[in-house]
Order: sequence, then structure tokens, then C-alpha cells
Amino acid sequence: MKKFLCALIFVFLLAGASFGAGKNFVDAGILTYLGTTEQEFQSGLDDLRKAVAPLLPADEDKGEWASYDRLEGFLDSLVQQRRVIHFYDSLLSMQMALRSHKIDEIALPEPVGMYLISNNPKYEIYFSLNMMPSTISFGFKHGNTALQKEFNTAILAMRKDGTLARLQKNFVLELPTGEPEAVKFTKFKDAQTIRVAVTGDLPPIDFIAADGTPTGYNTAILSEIGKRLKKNIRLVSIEAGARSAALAGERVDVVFWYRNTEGLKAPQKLKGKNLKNVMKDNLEGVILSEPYYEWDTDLIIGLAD
Amino acid sequence: MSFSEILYKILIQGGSYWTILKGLNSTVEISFYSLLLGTLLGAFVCALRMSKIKILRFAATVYIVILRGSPVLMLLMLMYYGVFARSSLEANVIAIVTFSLNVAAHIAELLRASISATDHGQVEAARTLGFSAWQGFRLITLPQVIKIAKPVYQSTIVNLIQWTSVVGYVSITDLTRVINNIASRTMQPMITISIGMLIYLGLAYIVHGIFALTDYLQARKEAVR
Repeated sequence: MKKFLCALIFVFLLAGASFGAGKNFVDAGILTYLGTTEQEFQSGLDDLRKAVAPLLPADEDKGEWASYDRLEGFLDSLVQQRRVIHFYDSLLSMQMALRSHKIDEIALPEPVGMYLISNNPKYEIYFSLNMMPSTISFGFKHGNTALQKEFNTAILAMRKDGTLARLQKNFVLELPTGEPEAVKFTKFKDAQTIRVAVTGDLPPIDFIAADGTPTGYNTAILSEIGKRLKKNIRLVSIEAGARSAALAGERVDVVFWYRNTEGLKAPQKLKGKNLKNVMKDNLEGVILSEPYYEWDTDLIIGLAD
Repeated sequence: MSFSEILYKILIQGGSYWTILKGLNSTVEISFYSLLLGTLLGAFVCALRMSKIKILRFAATVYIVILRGSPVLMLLMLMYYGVFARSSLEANVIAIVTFSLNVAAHIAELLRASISATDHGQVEAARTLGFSAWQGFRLITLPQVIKIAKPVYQSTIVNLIQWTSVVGYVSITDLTRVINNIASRTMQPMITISIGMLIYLGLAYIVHGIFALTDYLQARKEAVR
């Protein structure tokens, strides 16, 4: 019996090793898109891959694709090797999967990716995707258009007067390794209190300091919005996976971050392939504000060894 | 970055140790009150489950089946974001209520199994000697039930401590949430989570130690007799 069990284990190990050795795809981890399933995302990406392959120009004809420079790296890479997508609810679980070789690479917004590799030399950038501008917005419960409008007014004013750019510079772009300083919130007597969910899972954009208090870009931007709206802000720390439940259950009024994919469109050459159908983060019951953070580049990060 | 520098960053820098202690306190507080309430409720559900009235037995069975069969995270989210969504109850209180409900179902079954394992003939013999029903239960059945249930009760406490690690979903900053926050901040998930595991392991051993101590005291008491 013992011999039989040993033989069985050996066969399984052998089968596993040969399966792994013959792998002709890349296991890629991304943060969960709340508005779509892993299968739908995979199917959308596979469709995109099929559509892109015949359109990709030969090396000598790359000039023809001059207007698609930003897409080139992504398309080349996607066609060369199929990406099998794995969703992770948190950056932490995604890192664990990468470290344990469950996945080969992870995709992160540039500021988050830079923070990751600056703080842990075990990671390195495999390549950058200058694919399309990506944005993050506040999320509100469907129907709460009054608060959405107030936030939009504040964000647009902050964008216009350069406050957004200044906060991004001070709290994200010039802060790859260090910890951001604490921001004070102005108290308004007898004013409404807006409860905002933060996760601490997207440093340095959504960040929780060593003493357990939310600090950095999330607090800086919310403090500024609070001042402009003359309302008090109360930060509520929750798990990233509970963001929509917190909004739906009205435990919070605003969720600090949702990826805003409303504006994503593939280039004309890929007619009918609207990327927002694939990369859908916003749920039916959630409405989004004007974006408050934008970046052009996603980093594909893997283990340094 | 050397290992000691990483440890310093995880445990000391910026008062991190204090945040970990606060998270630990939250975990212990929720576990302790849930255990207390859960044990009382579990004893009550067990009494219903062993009642001679059919409807009470049925109600207790349904309670146990539902609560034991449902994931505690789902129950917690349902309670916090659904049932008590409009109440002004603190998240900690809702968590304690949820874990009490859940652990009560487990304890009810544990007590029932332990009572069933005792020899009913001993109680009957006590009754013929003039013991009241309560005396028979308190002096004959209960000491045996405690002895039988003790090892599984200990496991239930350790399980309860581990179950509370999901309270981050309802805005409570417990030990797991603190560890996750530190891992995200330092980008050192493996080491940080290993430290978190060691702390949970320490808690489990404290529980084990308390039970071992009670066993030791009991044995000494019996030796003195």
C-alpha cells in the first residue's frame, strides 16, 4: 500500500512538473475589476489578442503604426504570449502569489509599482505599458448625485488651480520610498460629516501609516476637498474587497478609489473592441466622480531572480 | 536592506509596535466577549436542542444547521451592511454579536455531545438518593460534561480567535488588518505575515497554557482530597 501511494505521489509530481515545463503562456495577476468576472476579462483579452495579431505590422512597417506608439509594446507582448489573468482582491495577496510563483508577473499603476520596487529589491520592472491613460475616481452610491456633484466641482477646481498636480507631486511622485507626512483635517462646527472608506492597499495613493492612521495622498486630497466643501471628513479603514458593500450598506458615503474605465477606448484600427467592456471596475450601483489621479503607464513587475 | 532593517521597519519604525498592540487588543476583545456571550447562548441553545418540546428542538436544530453551515465572513457582512446597516451600533459590537451567534451554534453541539456521553444512570441513581434534578445536574453531570468538553472547547476558542481575522471587512482594525496594512506599507508581505502568524500562534498557546493550568490546578486539588 505504501509503495502504491509513493508511486501515485511520484506520478502526480511528474505530471505537475511536465505540465509546468510545457507552459506557453504567462500567468498575470491584476487587481480585481469589480464590474467583471475573471472569465469575462480573460475572454475579452483573448478576443483582443485575436483581433490584434493580424493587424500588427512587420518590423519594417512599424512606421505605419506611428500613431499607436503607446500601444505597441502592449500589443507585441500580448500577441507573443497569451496572458492568463488572475484577479486578486488586494495588492498584498497578489504579491504573495508572485513570491510563491503562482503567477509570473503583476500589473500595477506606475506610482504603486514604483513604490513596490523601491521598497523591496526582490521585484523588478519587466516592462512598461504605455497603453492608455488610466484614472482613479471616488465612488458614490447610485443616486447620491448631490455629493457626486459637490466632489466633481471641488476636483475640477483643484485641477484648474494646480492643487491636484501639487498634491500628486508632494505625496506620490516625489515619494517613492519615504513615508508621507500626516495631513490635518480642518474641523467645521455643525457641518455635515462625510464618511470616506480608505483601504491602505494602493500605496502611496491610498496609504495607512505605521501608527495606523491614513496618511498621504488620500488624506491630502480629502482634506482639501473638505476645506472647499466646508464639510468634515471622517476616514473609515476597510478591506478593499468590502468597498462596494460599504457603499451599498450606507456605512460610508464615499469610497476613496475605483478605477475609472469609462473613457477607455481602443484605437480605431481595432473597431468594436472597446476596452471598457473588458476593464470594468465600476458596479451598477456605484457612480464615479471626476478622476482625481491619472497616469499613463502601467508597470509589469516580476521577481528579480 | 538587511533583515534587521526590514524587521525594524515592520515592527518599530513610526510606532508600528503600538499599532500592532492596538490591533491585538481588538482581536482579543472581540474574541473574549464573543466567547463569553457565545458560551451562554450556546448553553441555552443546547437546552432547547435537548428539550422535550418538539418545536423548541426543531428551532434549535435549524439555528445550529444555519449558523454552523454558513461562512462567518458572509454572516458578518450581512449583519454589518444589512441587518444593522441603519443602526448606530459600533462595528465592534456587531462583530461580537455575529461571532457570538456563530460560536454559540458550535458550543451548543459540543455541549449536547458531551451531555450525551455521560452516563444518565448516575443521575437516576442520585435522584433515588434524594438529589434534586438541579443537584443531579450540577454535581453529577456538569463536572463530567466539563471534563469531556474541555479539549474541544479549547479548539473552539482558538478557532474563534482565527475567525475574527475577517473583521477588517467591517471597518475594524484588528491584528490581521494591522498586519495587512504594514505589509502594504513596507511591501514585505512574507515577513510581515509570518510575524502575524507568530502572534496568532502565541495567542493559541496562551489559550493552551490557561487550559493546561486549569488541568494542573484540578489535578492538585484532587490530590489534596
